[in-house]
This record gives sequence, structure tokens and C-alpha cells, in this order.
Amino acid sequence: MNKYFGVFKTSFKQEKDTLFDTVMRAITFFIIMYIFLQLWGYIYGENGTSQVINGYSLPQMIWYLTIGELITFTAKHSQITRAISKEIISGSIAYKLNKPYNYYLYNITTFMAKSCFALIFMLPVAVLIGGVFVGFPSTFVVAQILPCIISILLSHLLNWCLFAIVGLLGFWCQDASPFDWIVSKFLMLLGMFFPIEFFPSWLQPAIRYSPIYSIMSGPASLVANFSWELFGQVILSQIVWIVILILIGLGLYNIGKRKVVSNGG
Amino acid sequence: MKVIEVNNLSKEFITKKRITKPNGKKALFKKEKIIKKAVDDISFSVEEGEALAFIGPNGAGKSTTIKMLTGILYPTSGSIKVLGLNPSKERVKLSYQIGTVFGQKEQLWVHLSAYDNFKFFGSIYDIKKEELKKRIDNLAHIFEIESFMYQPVKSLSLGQRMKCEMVASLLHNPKMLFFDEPTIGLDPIAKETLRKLIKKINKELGTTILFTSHDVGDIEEVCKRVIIINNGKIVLDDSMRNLKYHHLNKKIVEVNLKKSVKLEEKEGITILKAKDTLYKIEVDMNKTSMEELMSLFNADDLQDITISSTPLEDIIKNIYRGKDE
Repeated sequence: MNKYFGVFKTSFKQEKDTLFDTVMRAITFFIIMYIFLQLWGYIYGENGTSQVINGYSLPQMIWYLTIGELITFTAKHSQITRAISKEIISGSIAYKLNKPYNYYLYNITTFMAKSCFALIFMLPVAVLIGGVFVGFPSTFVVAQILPCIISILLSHLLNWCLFAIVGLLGFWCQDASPFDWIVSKFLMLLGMFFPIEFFPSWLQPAIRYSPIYSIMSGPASLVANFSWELFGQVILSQIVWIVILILIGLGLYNIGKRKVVSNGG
Repeated sequence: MKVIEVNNLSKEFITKKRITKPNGKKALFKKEKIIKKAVDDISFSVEEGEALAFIGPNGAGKSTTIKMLTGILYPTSGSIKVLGLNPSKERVKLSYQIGTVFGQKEQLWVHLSAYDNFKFFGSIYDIKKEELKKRIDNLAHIFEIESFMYQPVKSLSLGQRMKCEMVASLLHNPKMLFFDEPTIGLDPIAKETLRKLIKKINKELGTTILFTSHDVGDIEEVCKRVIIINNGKIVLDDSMRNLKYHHLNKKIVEVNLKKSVKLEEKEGITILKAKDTLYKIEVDMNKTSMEELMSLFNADDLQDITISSTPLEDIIKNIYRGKDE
């Protein structure tokens, strides 16, 4: 594991070069969240703090949305797809295959280093938006901070596992971005914008047992409406989906790597 | 001891193209397979400590062969043994024993310093901290990179980067080094330095070297044996000495005289082109000398002169033609 710790450290160090970009993303994140704050404030009306919609008060709704946006902003899933499919299509994946590491683990590690770097800047912004503008949810306890961070990190890992599969389609097609678009829109519409309770009852089980719940709805509702029982449910679904998606990804990778084409010097 | 054994190795790349109907229009879905044989049934072996040049024109199949030898690409057929291992099945095990430098592909993290990169390579090759420090110091001294190895890689010149690439590929003490066009894009001084260093690695560390390049100078300086590949097939497998004697003996001399003169061909001197006061002459150094050529015209009439070796592509074409005949 020392090897991957070295990869994590190097990747984290390299991210320091993107400091300006990350700060700009944090500012954009703040602006977008401020707009949503105004929108939901209008929907909840003047008695926003006492009003409850589908079990969510205004602070809970804003915290849900903030965490959903935070995951989207820091995981940068389109970059996962683009990086992997580009490596496959251009053949540059070949140059990573002659090193003594597992290509899959190497990419997970570099991605997690990037995510952790981005979270260091984005998380305080998220806390600022939620804490200062609407206050903490009524269910908030200090003890939930660590479980919530664990769940957000697992959500990042899941993001990688899901979008790496989309990227691996590059072995069979010339452009994986349409698939990335479809999957990311599902995540956004069925996970990031609204909690699962806002959807028709017939649709809720489909979302609950899909990766959308483990990536978006689960960690976001955990922050907005924390309970140890919910934590157990979310973590379990995240671990199950991580195992499933890694197995699918490794299967696709092992089939696809025989198709690597890399011409020229 | 043989460190590389290649038998009947072939690699095919398959692409698909929409078929053209009899009316000249392209079919919407129906595609035909186009098979391109990048490497076609080649066999060779390399002894331990040897410096072998693997040369050929663009698209000849040399990089594809190197990629199969390092386990990056899977062969379509044939067998490969590198250091007793099958590269496609024991890729990770093999990667601990070989090093690669690709002139057209950086393996360093450009935003970080070369030193940080070396630490990264140290961790992926499981080298202990104290040992890594010793090796970095030693290689930094050999390659003379001490003055710039703490600067970000992106701020280094191409020659400096290539030196750092070579150090990175040597940190784990590989038994074999694969160089794929390492001098591409370098200026003559940087090329010369790099060639000397490669030679040094081969001589002093006893590392087996497999080298691909388009540059005749690279091969002349570094390697004792040459394999020429063209259209995926081995055209020639011979010592550098033989290749030099038979094929690198011809020089192309371009002269510009003050006035037009009638030059007469002699043994070993062939006039390729004569236009006004410009002459292009081929000189076979095995049969004649430059002095002999200079005696064909008055030295006071000479305005300009350029001497160059026959391009590698032409040599390969000649060898290939010779084989056909």
C-alpha cells in the first residue's frame, strides 16, 4: 500500500498547481448556492424556517442541496470519463501499463488525491453557506461530522467507479461523452436537486437501490437529517455499490486491455 | 545468456471501414475489417549486456515491437521471452526489471520537480528511502542534473527533461533499458550528451540496451548490432561494423561553384545532379576519398559545400531493394 500512498502524495502535491482554478471553482460554487438559497427561500415563503415540504425544512433542504452540489463540484465526473476514454482512444494508456502498479488502483488513488485537495477548499464554503445563511439542521450533532465526511469520501470513490466504467467504453466506441452526459443528468435530476422523498412513491425504490442514492441522495440526506440508522443504511449501500462497480469496471478493463492500440513511438 | 528471445512474432491492428456500394455510396452500417500487419513474423534474440539498435522508417513496426517486449501490447501470434518472463502475462513482474524511455511520451509529472518525480518512482518501485536517496545522488552525479533537479519539470529544456527521464527509468536498477527514439527533437549537443550517457550506462552498469531511432548518428555511436525492420519484417540483422562498411560508406556532397564546369565521373564518384553551377555528387568512401573529389575542380571556384550521409530511409530502401533482387 506504500506504493499507492506515494501516488496519493505526488498527485496531491501536483494539485497545488491548480490552486487558482480550485479557488475559482469555490467562488462559483458559492454563487450558485446563493442563487439556490434565494430560490428555495422563495418556495418556502416568509415562514420558511417553520415550513416543512416532504419532511424537509428550509435549512435541511439547503444543506441537502449544498452537499449534492459539493459532491458534483469536487468529484468533477466528466473529467473522470474524459481522462480514461482519452487515454484509451489515443493509446496513451499503454505508457501506464509498463509500470509496476495496478492501473485501476493508480487512477482511483490519483482521483482521491484530487478530490481531497478540492474538498479542503470547498467544504468550508459549504459549511459557510449552510451555517451562516440558514443555520444547522435541527438534527445536527457534532458527532455526525466524521461519519458525514466518510460518506462524502465514499461518494467520491463511487463517482470514480461509475464514471470510470463510462470512460472504459472508449475501448469499444470513439466517444464516451454522450454516455457521460446521460449518467450525469440522471445523477443531477434524481439525486442532486431533490431528496428521494420528493419523487413519486413508485420511483423511490428505483432510486434508493441505485448508485444515485449511494452517490448523491444518501450522503446529502445524511448531512441534512442525520441518524445513526440512516448512516448505517447509506454506508452499506455505498460499500455494496463500490464492490459491484469495481467488479464491473475490472471486468471491462480486463477484456478491453487486450484491445489497446498504440501506434508509433 | 539470452535476455530477449522472440520467435515468429506478429501483431495485427484491426480497423473497420464502411463499405462502398456498387453505386459509389458508402453503406450506413455495413463495415469491412481492415487488417494492418504492424509486425510480421519476426524472430531474433539479444544477449545480456548487448546494445542493439532497432531501426526502420515511420510505420516500420519498431515501436510496436518494443511495446510488445515491454508487455504494453499483446502479440497477435508468436512468443516473447524477456529476462525469462512472458511480458503480456507477467507484465508487473517484468516492469521491476526493465526501464523504458519514450522520446515522444513523457513519464514525469510536469508540475513537480524532477526530485519529487524520483521520489514518486521510488515509491512505485518499492525502493527504501535511504536506498533511493543514494541512487538519486549517484545518478544525479552521473547525469549532471544536480543543478536543475529541484526545478519543476515544465521549466526544463527538452535535453534536461530527457536526462531526468533517463534517471527516473534507472532508479530501480533495471537489467534492460528500452529507448524509443530518445533523441527526437534534441539539438546536436544534447543528442551527443545523451548518446554518451547511454553508452556509459551500457558499459559501466552492464545494462542491456534496445534502442530505436531514425538518427544514424545515434546508432553509430551507441550500438554494436543493428536490426533493420521495414513493413513489419526484419530486413537486416548484422553488426554495426558490417552495416557501416556496406551501407554507411556513401556521402552526399553538394557543391556550388563560381562558374559552370564539366565534372567527370570516376570510380566511387557519381554525379547525381548538375544544374548551372550546382552539383550533387555521391562519394563512395570505400572506393575513393574526398581529396579525389576535390581534385575534380579548382578549389578557388568553390563557393559553398555541404557533406551529408545518405539518409537512413534511403539506406533501408537500398537494403530492402537488395533483398528483393
